[in-house]
Amino acid sequence: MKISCDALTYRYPGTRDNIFTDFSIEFPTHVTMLRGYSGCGKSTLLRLGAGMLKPSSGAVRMEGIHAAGSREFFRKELSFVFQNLNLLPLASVERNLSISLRIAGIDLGQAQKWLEILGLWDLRGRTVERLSGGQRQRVAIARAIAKRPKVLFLDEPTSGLDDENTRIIKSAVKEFTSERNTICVVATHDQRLEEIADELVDFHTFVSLEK
Amino acid sequence: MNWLIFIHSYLWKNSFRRWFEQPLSLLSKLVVSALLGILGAFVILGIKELGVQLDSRLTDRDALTAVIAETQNTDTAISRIDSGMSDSKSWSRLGGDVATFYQVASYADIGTERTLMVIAVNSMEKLGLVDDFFIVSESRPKGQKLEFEINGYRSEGTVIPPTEEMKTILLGRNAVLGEVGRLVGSMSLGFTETTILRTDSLENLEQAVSIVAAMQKRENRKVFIQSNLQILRELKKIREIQAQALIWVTVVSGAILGLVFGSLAWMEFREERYLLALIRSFGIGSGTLLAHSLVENCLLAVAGVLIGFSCLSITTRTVDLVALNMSWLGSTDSLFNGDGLVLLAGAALGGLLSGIPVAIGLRKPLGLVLT
Repeated sequence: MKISCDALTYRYPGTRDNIFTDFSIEFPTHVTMLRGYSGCGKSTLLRLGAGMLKPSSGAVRMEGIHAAGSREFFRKELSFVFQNLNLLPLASVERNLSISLRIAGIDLGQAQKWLEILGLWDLRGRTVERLSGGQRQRVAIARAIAKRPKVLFLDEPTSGLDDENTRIIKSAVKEFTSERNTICVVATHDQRLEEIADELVDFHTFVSLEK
Repeated sequence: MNWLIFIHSYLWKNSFRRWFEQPLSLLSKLVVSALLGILGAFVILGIKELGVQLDSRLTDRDALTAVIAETQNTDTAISRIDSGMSDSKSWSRLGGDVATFYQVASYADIGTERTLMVIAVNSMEKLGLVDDFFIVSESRPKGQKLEFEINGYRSEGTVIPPTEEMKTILLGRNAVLGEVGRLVGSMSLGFTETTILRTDSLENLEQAVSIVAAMQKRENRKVFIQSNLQILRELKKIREIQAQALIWVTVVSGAILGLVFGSLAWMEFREERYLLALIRSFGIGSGTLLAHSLVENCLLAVAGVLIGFSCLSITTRTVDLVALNMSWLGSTDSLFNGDGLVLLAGAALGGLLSGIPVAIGLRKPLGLVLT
């Protein structure tokens, strides 16, 4: 099971320059960490890899993944944590999880474990707008991994978080990826996350550093 | 399919929440639809009333009556009489009633009146009279016996009132009436043959006019027809325009509602695009989200028009329409029984058109909305 990005070129609509040209990379079933400076295209690559953007040229192939690219894939196999989190601010923590889980056909009860690991169980009835930044970040992680996806994309999951919140998120991601055969790709410039990565890719030099 | 039921119930809850939080948007949609519904109802009821009046005019026997006249002089009168004066049989083939009168080119003298018209008919029996002479008069007492003289021939006639057909010819004057057989002598001096043709359809009237034209052209006869055909044709044209007007009412209502609802739907979409994109990222197709938007707007548009109909119906029941010379508005119940379907269809069309900007918005790749 892997995601292969072959000779990808992408240019945002209305811009002149390519974000990257003829770029190829593979994401196997382990945790891949994309490092690089802001604006180098890490997030764009994640969205291309997840099928949320269409490449200008090249292709993203998903091998060994059930219903790859289809709506069922999005419903059941893929979770994406966005940099802006994209939570429902007026809904409770539980509600934020339940929408994604019910669409995936997963019982909300199965989310309890991850809410506890991420320290959100006691906050599950609270609306998101009343949570701190770190707590919101943890809700987004809980929503992503409670779905038990085969493909997990995390875009700057610990950006601006303190060490304690980062530690909680790291341990949750580590536990999830170790117990499930998952393709996990993390785009970040936060070096604190390096210890959970199986592979580091320097996005600036495109050098893969096997750990 | 549980997820589909769930997402639809979620989207409806979201719509109710939006209506509650932004009642002006909901009210705008309902009020605009209701006003268009009322305006459209005025047009539809007006067109319907006009249609009823036009139909009654188009099917009115008096309107469908033609008067065909042909004058025979001394040269042609005899041959016309000898030929059996068979035109009335031709006219009978067109359907309806035919009555032919021959106005003799002589006058009758009854002493007090010296220039009485002389009218001959093919059969007195068809008029419900016995074969005898009659004095047709509205002013003289019915049944009165009067002596008369025509070209030296003296006889006596009984006074009768004129039939409807005779009134067309007599125009208030008195006349002596007798069968052709009794008046051949006078008719040989010339007469005017007048046929009153009461057709039962506009098509038959058109045919009669065509036949007269053919008589004039091919047989070189001096025959003339007087009818309301031109007016009736114009009325028929108006009737056809009415059907087109109804189509335009539907299209224009739909377009106006489409523009208003489309603008509001676009604003709502812009407010909710992150939520909708998030739902799409969970694996819900754009089609599902678009379908919800279309159903919501169609329902609101149709509900608004029905509210408009109801308001109009209540108003017409409480206002004295006769005093306002608007009694044609009294049939508002028919709006709910079929006449209003055109406007409801227009409203639904508007609701569907409002989905266009939403559909365009939903085409945007997820990765360009969610960051």
